[in-house]
Amino acid sequence: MEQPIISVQDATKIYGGGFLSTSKPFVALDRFSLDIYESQAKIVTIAGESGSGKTTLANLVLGFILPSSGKIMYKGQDVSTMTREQRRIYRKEVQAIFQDPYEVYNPFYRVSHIFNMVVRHFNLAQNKNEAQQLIEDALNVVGLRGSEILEKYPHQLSGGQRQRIMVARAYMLRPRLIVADEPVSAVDASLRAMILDIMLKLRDRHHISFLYITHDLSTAYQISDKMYVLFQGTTVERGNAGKIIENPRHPYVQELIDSIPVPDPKMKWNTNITLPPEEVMRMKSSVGCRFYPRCAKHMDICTRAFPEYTQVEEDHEVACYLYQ
Amino acid sequence: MAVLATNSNTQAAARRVNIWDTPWLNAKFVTGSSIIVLVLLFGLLGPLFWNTDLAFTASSPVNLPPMWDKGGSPEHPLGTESNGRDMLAQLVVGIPASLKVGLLAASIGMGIGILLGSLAGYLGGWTDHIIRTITDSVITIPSLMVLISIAAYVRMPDTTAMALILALFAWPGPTRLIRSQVLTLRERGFVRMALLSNVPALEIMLFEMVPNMLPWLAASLTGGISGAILGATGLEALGLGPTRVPSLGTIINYALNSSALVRGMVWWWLPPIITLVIIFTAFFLMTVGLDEIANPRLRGYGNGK
Repeated sequence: MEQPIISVQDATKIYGGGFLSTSKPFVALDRFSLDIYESQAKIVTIAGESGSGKTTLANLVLGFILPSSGKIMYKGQDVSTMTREQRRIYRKEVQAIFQDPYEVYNPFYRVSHIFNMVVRHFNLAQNKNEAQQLIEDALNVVGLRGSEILEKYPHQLSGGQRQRIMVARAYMLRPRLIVADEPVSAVDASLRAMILDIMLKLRDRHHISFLYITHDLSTAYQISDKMYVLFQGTTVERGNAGKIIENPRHPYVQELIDSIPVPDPKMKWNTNITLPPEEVMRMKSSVGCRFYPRCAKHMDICTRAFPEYTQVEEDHEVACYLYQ
Repeated sequence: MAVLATNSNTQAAARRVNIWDTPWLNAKFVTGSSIIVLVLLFGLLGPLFWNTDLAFTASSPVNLPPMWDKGGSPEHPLGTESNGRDMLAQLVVGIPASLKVGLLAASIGMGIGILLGSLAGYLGGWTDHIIRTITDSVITIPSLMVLISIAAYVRMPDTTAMALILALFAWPGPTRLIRSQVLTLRERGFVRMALLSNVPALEIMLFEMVPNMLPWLAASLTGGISGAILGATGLEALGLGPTRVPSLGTIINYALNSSALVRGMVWWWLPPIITLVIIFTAFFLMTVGLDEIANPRLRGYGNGK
């Protein structure tokens, strides 16, 4: 059995509610599990609305925060108890691209700083020429040239350039997994296609897996292999991305896919969603399906316990009592 | 090639314009720092033009008024006082001495502040709780009272000892400021990028965070300097400072002891006070200017420079 590169095991993240704290515990992510294997590079989409726990998951996988319970394992090693050397290898193999391609640059330095940091702290090159060559190669993958951008300051570049540079930076480390936290939400449509294209290229030619975090189901449909749909921290549907989007089973996912706007002016957008008080179902004490207050098909059983995952077809599971 | 040439020309032109389009050319900051530079020059270049030995007891005739008054002499242009010290020489020696105390005390306070503030902000948890509690407690202590008690017991040989005592109360402000800055910077994307690049914590602090805090640090330092000078002057005027080396506060102390006010020796007590007012105003302008540089929202409309 192959060791997964990243294995998220029943990870739960609860904010607040600590000793002496006045805030009620808030469940950001609830018993999430996911395995990503090295041998078959895949784009795994984590989809969900704002506040569904997508970014919490990204921060957990990147080791920025620790889970309240459950484990994040990198090649069988718990991320929270790594030695310095283990951490270095984990950092090299698990990289990230973030949503805001301006925030990630220190306004104090030129663009080359971002590459120099990587080269220096991972000992990628023996000398200056070798480093130069590495940086140039990485930039070429995303269609940029070093002479155009390296000596500039981040504010002198366009949003698309900045995001492509971040992809090049991640690629330079030849990681096995890139956590892409809404990488195309802040760039315009033509660049979106370009960056998604680069992601596909990195998957197919360089065997890099992606954890693609998005609220945009249409891009998820285009590029992802596997998909997890989150709702208020819980996974409501998981499996093959195409199957989920073409044939959604969970009432929430059905609602979500109905609400994708169609580029046709004659089509009237008549989804009518009424939202209950936001965090009714979010507190630590609550059990049962979190979609209950919004669900059109809710039943009494829904509030008793969180539903087990039911396999509705091959590689397609849903957490809903309608299918049990 | 021609296209390239014009391109680089326009770039050069843009750069030339941009040199003057910087928030650092804030009117308040420039005025304040120019005054400080002038005061410093007076203190630093003064010894080249004036004999500083005249700043010590019995080096000159006593009680001479300034040269423009009746009985004054051009050999002592600002007059002399009752112990036979030349006023101009005392100012030449006293100004750098007072500035040195301020700079030293504020720098030590700032150094401790950077260390504790960064630790508290970056590590969080219990470290943060402990540092924050101690800092907040020290801030509530009326510092002048404690300083007077300490200064009364410690005999101070020179200004350095003075600066060290003042530094005891100069660190809580910077600690709080830096802690809050580090807390916000820690969540910034570029700090996360540095973490992902395996940059060690100390390097993240020094090379990613500190450059982005520079205006705050500078504002806090100038504020700290004038605070420390004020503290030092207060102690010296009460007679608790080093008595051998003249400083602005010591001059005031001698003037008070010799009843210069009732004897009408304006030239004795007024010059150190005017100098102090100039120094405080200049540091205040610098602090406010730096604050505007650090917080663009304070710049208001139209006077962005």
